[in-house]
Amino acid sequence: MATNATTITREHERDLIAQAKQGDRVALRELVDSHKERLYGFIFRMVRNQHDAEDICQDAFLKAFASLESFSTEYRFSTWLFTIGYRVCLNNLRRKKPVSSELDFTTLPGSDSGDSNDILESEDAAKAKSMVWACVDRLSPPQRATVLLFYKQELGCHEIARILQMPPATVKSHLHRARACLRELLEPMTDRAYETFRNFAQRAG
Amino acid sequence: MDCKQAEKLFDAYLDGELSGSMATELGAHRLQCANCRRALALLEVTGHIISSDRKPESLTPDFTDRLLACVDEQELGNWAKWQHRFYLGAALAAAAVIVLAFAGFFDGTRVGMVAGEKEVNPSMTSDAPVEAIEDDEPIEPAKEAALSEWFRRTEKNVKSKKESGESLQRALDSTLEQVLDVLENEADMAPINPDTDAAKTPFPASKSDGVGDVAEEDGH
Repeated sequence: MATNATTITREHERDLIAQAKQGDRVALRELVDSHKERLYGFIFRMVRNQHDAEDICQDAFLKAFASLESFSTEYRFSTWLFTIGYRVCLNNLRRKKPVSSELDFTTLPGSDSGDSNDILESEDAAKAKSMVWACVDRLSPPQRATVLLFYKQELGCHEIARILQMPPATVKSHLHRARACLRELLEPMTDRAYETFRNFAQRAG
Repeated sequence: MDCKQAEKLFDAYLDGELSGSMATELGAHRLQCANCRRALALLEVTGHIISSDRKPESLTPDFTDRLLACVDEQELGNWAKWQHRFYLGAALAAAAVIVLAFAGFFDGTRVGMVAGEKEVNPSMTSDAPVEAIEDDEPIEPAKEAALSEWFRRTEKNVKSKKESGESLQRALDSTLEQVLDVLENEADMAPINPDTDAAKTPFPASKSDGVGDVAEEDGH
């Protein structure tokens, strides 16, 4: 999986799952500790609510452990966990109203006549990030999940396809539509805001 | 390359799947076209922010402990559920037995029999010796001995008739006659003298039905 995600080797993961199937609490703890932050990061970005994200994260782990007997070590545990997490997210999102508020570009760094030298100030950086995440929030759940798994979890289309349980071609299609949607949402920003935004990203990178 | 052609290559370019020559062509168009330059930069920056935003999204510190406590609770819950099912099943089974007992299902019957149906003593349909015949009244030792003796004689009689080639039906009929005689005379129970006639063999009247039935069955 992603570079920051692989905290345990495949072999060790298999051992942990075999021990967890026997009811070994230490193995269960290690499985939780090695996956919880990444799973929570994904779920939080999907539902944008800390309390809900933690509940979903816990639910996903419990569901995974409850059916651990049927899990095949042919797949990565993280793939399975993300699949369960994504499904629980979808159930949660269905119960909630979609985001419909207009994007406000006036709060973006550089959108006023002020000096652009302060672009690295944390407030501006936070505004730029929140602007992007606000656009991501407006994507449909499959598009959002695809974008998060592709950019944030750094997964390839085939692994994303396994997690979202759709063909790789559909994943590509979601990614294409998501980019088009993000572009459409971010286009209205003023030239100056755009330049500042771009500079910030370059410096932050 | 025009803008339409360039836009079709955006995804492949962002995914790093564009071949060298196509990437060069797109790069050349990007330098010339401000709109495509802006669009592509916007997508690159957005992707960069999404992937590099390490805003701490931390779980509560006791998340793992609470999760494992839930796993324990779930397992205990499952065990309790099974226990509950077991006790419920046992209670229902007991209730069913009581109801059937009140309905007289088990009166004078064995498992697999319907109430009121006459019981066939399995020992009479096989070679096994007779030990006892179930009844509400306990069998006195003397009566039991008499019965055993009578069955022994019947078996011997039937066997000898078979060997001598005589009619089995006649042998059984004669035994049945002896039984009926005893029933009519309501003879008292007494120890059997092996030398006495089989016709005098006494046995309780209540047993006659079963014995007679079996004797007839054997004759078929």
